[in-house]
Amino acid sequence: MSTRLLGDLPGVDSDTTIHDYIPGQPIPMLVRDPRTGKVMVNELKKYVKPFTLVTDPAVITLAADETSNPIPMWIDAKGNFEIMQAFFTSTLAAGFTVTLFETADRPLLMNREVPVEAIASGLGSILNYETLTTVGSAGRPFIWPESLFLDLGDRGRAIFAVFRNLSSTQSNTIRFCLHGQRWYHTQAPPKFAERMQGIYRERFRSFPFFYTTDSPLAAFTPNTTFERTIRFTDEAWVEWRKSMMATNAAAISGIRVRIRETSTQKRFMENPIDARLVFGNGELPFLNWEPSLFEPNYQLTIEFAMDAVVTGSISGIVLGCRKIHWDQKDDRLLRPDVPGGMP
Amino acid sequence: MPLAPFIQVPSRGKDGSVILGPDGRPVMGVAVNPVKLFVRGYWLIDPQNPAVTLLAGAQTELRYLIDSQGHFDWATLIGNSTGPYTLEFFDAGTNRRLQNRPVHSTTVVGSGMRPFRLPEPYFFNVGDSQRELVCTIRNNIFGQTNTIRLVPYGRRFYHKEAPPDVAREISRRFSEGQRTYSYFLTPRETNSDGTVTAVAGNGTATFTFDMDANADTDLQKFMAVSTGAFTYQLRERATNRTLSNGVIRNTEGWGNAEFPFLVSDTYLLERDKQLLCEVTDISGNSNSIFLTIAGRRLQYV
Repeated sequence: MSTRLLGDLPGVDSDTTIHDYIPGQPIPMLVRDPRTGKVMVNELKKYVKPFTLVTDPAVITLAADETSNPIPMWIDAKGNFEIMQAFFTSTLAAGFTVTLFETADRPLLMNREVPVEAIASGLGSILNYETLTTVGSAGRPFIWPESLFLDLGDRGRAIFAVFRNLSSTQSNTIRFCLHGQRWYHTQAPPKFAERMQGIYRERFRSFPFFYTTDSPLAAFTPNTTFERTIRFTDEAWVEWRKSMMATNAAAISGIRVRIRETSTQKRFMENPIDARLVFGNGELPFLNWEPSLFEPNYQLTIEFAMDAVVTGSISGIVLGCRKIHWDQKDDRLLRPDVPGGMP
Repeated sequence: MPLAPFIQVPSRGKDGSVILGPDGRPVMGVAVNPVKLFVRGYWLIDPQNPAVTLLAGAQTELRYLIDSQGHFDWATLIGNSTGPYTLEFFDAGTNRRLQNRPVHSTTVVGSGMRPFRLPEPYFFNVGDSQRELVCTIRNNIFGQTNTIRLVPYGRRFYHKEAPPDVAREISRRFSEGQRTYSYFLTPRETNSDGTVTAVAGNGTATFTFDMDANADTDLQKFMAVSTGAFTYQLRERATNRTLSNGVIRNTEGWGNAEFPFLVSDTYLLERDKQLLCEVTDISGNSNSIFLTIAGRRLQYV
């Protein structure tokens, strides 16, 4: 509890941050010079602007069951791009899957194709007490578990997306876009350009990753059970932050899940519980109040148990994660107070 | 707040000594937070009743056992049901009720997509034994058979699996702060089973939120559900001060469990004080109004 009785009252002079950049937050418009105490416009802010990246072409029509060729999302070389959110539209409620390739440093953002409904906003949501339509989807963005910094270098870059229509009978006209902010370092004075590049270097080791089950889900037949695994890759630590699923019906019921750690058998719930209490969707994901940190190469097992009556089915579940690479020189520091083991 | 996954620690050489930089200060490196590996999100359920079906008018008890594997820090309340019901929590370990009267499910039970976040996490310290949270649910509003799922969600601290220094750090951190806890406040006019007497069409009524002599309460979230629209004004009984300069419609100051109304600054309801809610029905029909305020109770010692 604060001992400053008026500590929560706003005061521009004393409470304005001295930080020109705070990860995960909008860049402050005003900053306070710690030396003089004066409040001024954050110069960094002048060179950072919101930006939406769309596919080329922007509108894509997929035939029934069609998988598209890689579709580029071009980014010019004017400034680095930090991706934070994703949106989509789909003429069919069945939706589509998406696989994103990032060609340079990090080849993939997911372990295999994921349903778009689980990583982007655009389909509306049905809650316990109300139904939210697609009209407000932009107001409920899917905020990625970690922003993705793209260093564009001198020539620009591209992200490639592969889409697959989940309808086996109808064509689907779709849009997919990524929203974030451009860091126009090439137009900034050298001091701020260097600051921007410094921020990028600080964030380079962590990036978002979407894990879905290692193999597709089985049929949701009443009174049956099945299991699927999610194996985290071995090159990075993984922090599981958000849980999403895509369904083929407006409201599902009769599907229960239980998650456990494969090696320790530690369970996240004692018995399988209603899937709607474990997973949200891209618009309103289930937020893990305490993100769980896993060592490289860890595996989770997802158990599905169906009731006697099942309504709808789940086309995929996705864990929104943050991958954190360790620096080789930090290898010996994986535990505090443990003597170094580097040769 | 969740625990940070990584922390900065002084770098150490192969012999275990701290590496110092040219300025004589330790060279800092990044390390895994040793506590984080023993903390996991956790859905707490009653294994005997993961889903309970109640006939109209029936009631039952859900018993949430927190076994000796580790502490449980309860953060949100989620669930779904065929229809509304009332519920009341009892913490058997501290012999503490978490509300003054049963509350309406629509006001405190959120969904996976929009969980109802407790005003502050409720910590169950299992010590060397186990703890139990009991919830009495009554299907006394819906009038039909009701299938109810109710899950407290939070995090487990598996301190018994942790190295001694990590276990001690967990215990130290949570040995404090036991004097405050989340609390649901309903009006004095609420019946002992959570039902309410309806306000007559176009009629008026006064609901009294009163605080006993044991605790001050910091009110944070305002939730309501009713069978019709109403207007209201909040008034402090002791000072006659109103919290608005006129009457307000219910949709402008009362949310629900998924989208609660958050007051701009939390309201401190002191011991032995009352907050009045003067309502007027504008639906023209008999109106059952269930009001719940969620807050943080500071136990008087």
